[in-house]
Amino acid sequence: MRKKMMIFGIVILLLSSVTVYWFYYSNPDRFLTNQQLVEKINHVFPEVAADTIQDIIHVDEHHKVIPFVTKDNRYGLSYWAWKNHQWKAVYIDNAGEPKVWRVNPKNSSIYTIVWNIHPDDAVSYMKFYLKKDRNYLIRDGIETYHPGIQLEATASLNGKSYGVLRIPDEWSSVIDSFDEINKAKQLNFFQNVFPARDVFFGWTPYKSSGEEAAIKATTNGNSFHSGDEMIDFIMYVNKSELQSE
Amino acid sequence: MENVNLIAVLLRILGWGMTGYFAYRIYKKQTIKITVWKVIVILFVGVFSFSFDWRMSETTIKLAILPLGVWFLFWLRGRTEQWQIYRHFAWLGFFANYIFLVTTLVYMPLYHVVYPENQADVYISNIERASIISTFPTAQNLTLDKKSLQEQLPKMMEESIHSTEWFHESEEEIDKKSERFPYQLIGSIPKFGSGLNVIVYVENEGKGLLISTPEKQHYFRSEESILKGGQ
Repeated sequence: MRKKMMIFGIVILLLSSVTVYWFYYSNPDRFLTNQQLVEKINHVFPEVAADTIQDIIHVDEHHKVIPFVTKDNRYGLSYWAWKNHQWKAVYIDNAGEPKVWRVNPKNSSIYTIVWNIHPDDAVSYMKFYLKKDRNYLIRDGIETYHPGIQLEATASLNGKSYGVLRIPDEWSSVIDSFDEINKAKQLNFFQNVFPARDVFFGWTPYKSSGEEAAIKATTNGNSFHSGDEMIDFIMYVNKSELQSE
Repeated sequence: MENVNLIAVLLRILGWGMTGYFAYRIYKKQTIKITVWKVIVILFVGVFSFSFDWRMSETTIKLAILPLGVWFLFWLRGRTEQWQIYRHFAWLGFFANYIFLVTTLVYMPLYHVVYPENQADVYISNIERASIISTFPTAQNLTLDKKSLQEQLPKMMEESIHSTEWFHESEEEIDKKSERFPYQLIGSIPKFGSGLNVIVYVENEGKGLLISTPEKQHYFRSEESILKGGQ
């Protein structure tokens, strides 16, 4: 009797661990077909009215970006993650303004910039920035100075409306240095000592002539957000706000 | 990254060790024994108190005033027979606040002796994996001269930060071109056990380091540049 109970217990334990493993840790299934993608997008976010899937961009094993065109000729983006044993749309946007997907919030080296620019905006290439405003503070006679930061990366559209760009290693190092010091500040309850705004992302689109491109068709989108996925806005910066070389 | 504040940890252990020792002394004297886990719980609850806090730069000095934990335990178990035993441990818990106060007072001077604020090599100790990145467009294409940095670090002198001057000299240039600190030193490790977390900016000509900690900033100058011509 005792033996039977033990065997029964072991079987239950094995079954549940297999289930848990399957649910949380198993490798992703084959990705969805274009038709399934359109259906799923329109199911969770009907307003967007997706029509054509442009491509399936592999970000990593568990994350994909799907650019699409809508029925009313907008260029949208959907972000997909393998979660709880299924492919889920974690973010859908019907205007593909560049955003930063913190694919794994704990690992800044795989933060990825994602875009789908409407062809009407005639963008040929874009410059992305990691910026921090210069700042200073004097409190109780103690002075602090916070240098300005401006790192740059260029991405060409190469005739495609959409694309992704993993942030450069230098950006990741700078982000990490601020993340770590902020973590230490929170532990010490010192959050407000430095008022300086932290690093942020910026972008400027250019036409093939080298002039700044005006973004019209790629703006004013609606978006759908599900879960705790971290997707950062990228600020449009004018050439005049930048420190030129 | 996983840099613990060794002195704070050791003093914390010492503080609790002393509390444990006193608890042991009380425990031995008593004729009626209660279980050890009860003693531990009572001690921990007894520590809770209302206190006056003074913030002295990085550390907070807590002066415990009202024994909230003791009151709570009294309210819970005050009318039982065992209270006569419990109360010793509850008050010891409250008293532990003063043991911690003493360790905090010891901590501050001790920390500054082991990790002097005004020495650059406290903030940058191990540079095996260090490198320079340009964080501003005006940066020249320079790389870290490890040999020079190693030589300069112990000799660097702390100087005062001229925040407004530095800010305006960059900001008010007509074409907004310059930045006094256009590089970051990354991958360096602060002195072992300091618990420090730093961002290190490097000055234009490579002879100045601006170091941000979570609480403060320090500015160090060297005689020779720690940067060398880029390849």
